[in-house]
Amino acid sequence: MRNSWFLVYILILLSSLLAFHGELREQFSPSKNLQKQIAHLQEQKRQADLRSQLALDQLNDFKSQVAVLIPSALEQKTGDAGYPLRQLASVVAKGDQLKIERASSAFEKAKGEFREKHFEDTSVLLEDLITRHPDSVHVVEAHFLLAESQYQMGENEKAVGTIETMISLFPESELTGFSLLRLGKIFEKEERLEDAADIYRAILTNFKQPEISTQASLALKSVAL
Amino acid sequence: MRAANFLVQALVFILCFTLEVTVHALTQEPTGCFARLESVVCALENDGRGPVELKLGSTVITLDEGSAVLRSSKNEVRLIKGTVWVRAGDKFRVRSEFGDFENRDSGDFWVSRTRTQVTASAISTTVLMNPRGSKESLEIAAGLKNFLGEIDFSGRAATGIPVAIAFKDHVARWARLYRGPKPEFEAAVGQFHQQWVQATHESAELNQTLFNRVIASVDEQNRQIASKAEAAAKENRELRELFRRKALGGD
Repeated sequence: MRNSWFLVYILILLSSLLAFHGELREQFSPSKNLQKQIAHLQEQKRQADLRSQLALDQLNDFKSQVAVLIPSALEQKTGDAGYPLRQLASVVAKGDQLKIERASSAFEKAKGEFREKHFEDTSVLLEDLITRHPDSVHVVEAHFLLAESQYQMGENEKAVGTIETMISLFPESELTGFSLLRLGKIFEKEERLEDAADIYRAILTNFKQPEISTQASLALKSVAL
Repeated sequence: MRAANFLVQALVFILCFTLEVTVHALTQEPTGCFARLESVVCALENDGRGPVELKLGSTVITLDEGSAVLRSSKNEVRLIKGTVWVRAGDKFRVRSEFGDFENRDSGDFWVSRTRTQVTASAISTTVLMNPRGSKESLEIAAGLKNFLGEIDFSGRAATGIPVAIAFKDHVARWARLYRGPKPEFEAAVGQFHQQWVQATHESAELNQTLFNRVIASVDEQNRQIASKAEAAAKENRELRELFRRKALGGD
């Protein structure tokens, strides 16, 4: 019994000494201040991360709100006035701003090459843009210019493939209507007049934009003749 | 022998002083907002190890590791990321950019999200799912789950069909977040299993009906396509005949 009490006494003494030693080490340690600073900075970083997530959530909420409103706004705006809205509706905008900007500069470069009639360079740039930034706001126009470049280089088969992709991905885009006009011309060149006429009829049925429908009806008339 | 036992116990007692204790971290924005009035908007993120339990009015929510919510009132949170387990004493709403989920009666439900989808699993209450852009609510019966996705071209959030919760996955997730005694957990799992079996049967019937509807709709679409193709071919034949007559001077 006496031994037990002695052990208890010794253990309490030992734990007190350990606690005292720990406290002293903590007080006089040069790394203590640094550790405090690190903890403080980590806390600040966590808060900043949370704020950034909240901002991203607000942005996503805003995007969803816009996506809800677009269909009713589209019904009110027809013709040329509705073009920006239709363009927006044809693309489900995702990704961050940096990604969009990178796609924008690549697209501008491709447009420059197209204006200079460097169609091969344009094709390479646009194919790269479509692969790397499939969710870019420029993707519809990129497909359109790619199809045009391929047509200008005489790669009709590739151009038809690109236009088919546009039909399946962006059926409501005005640019798809213009690409279909190009498809009709390709068929005319290949003397597939019935196919060309079918395409023009399809354009007249599905695209109500004045410019496209005028072109399509003129082309249909010329095929019929 | 007794002295040795005593010595071991005492050593454990001393070691307890020297061990580092991991505290479950809850980041709050603004700092310390959770403890203030329940009406204060407060963002909360569990960036520690293990789940964090929070009491909001009569509801207890458990945030999984790495999950974040924005408390807008004592009856509503917005799920920013991760998974939240809601034990609702009263009506409670979990919002997201794709729509929101609300329990019909008191009971448990889970909501988890990815960047493009938010899924609710109804455990012991019916959950009402309100897709954004739609005025209609969809019900998720206990034992089933359903999701909300991105807004489509009709201006309405995408929705799935109610399917049975993946039982094993859910129990594993539940066990990770559960903090009560083991027998209580086993009883709760047993109770959920009964509801899950019933829900599985109901969902199978529902899926069969939906499947039949899809088949009927596809048949109708095929019939319309065939009818349009036939009309187009007829029109082409007539046009060709007309051209032939004109070209050969038959008229």
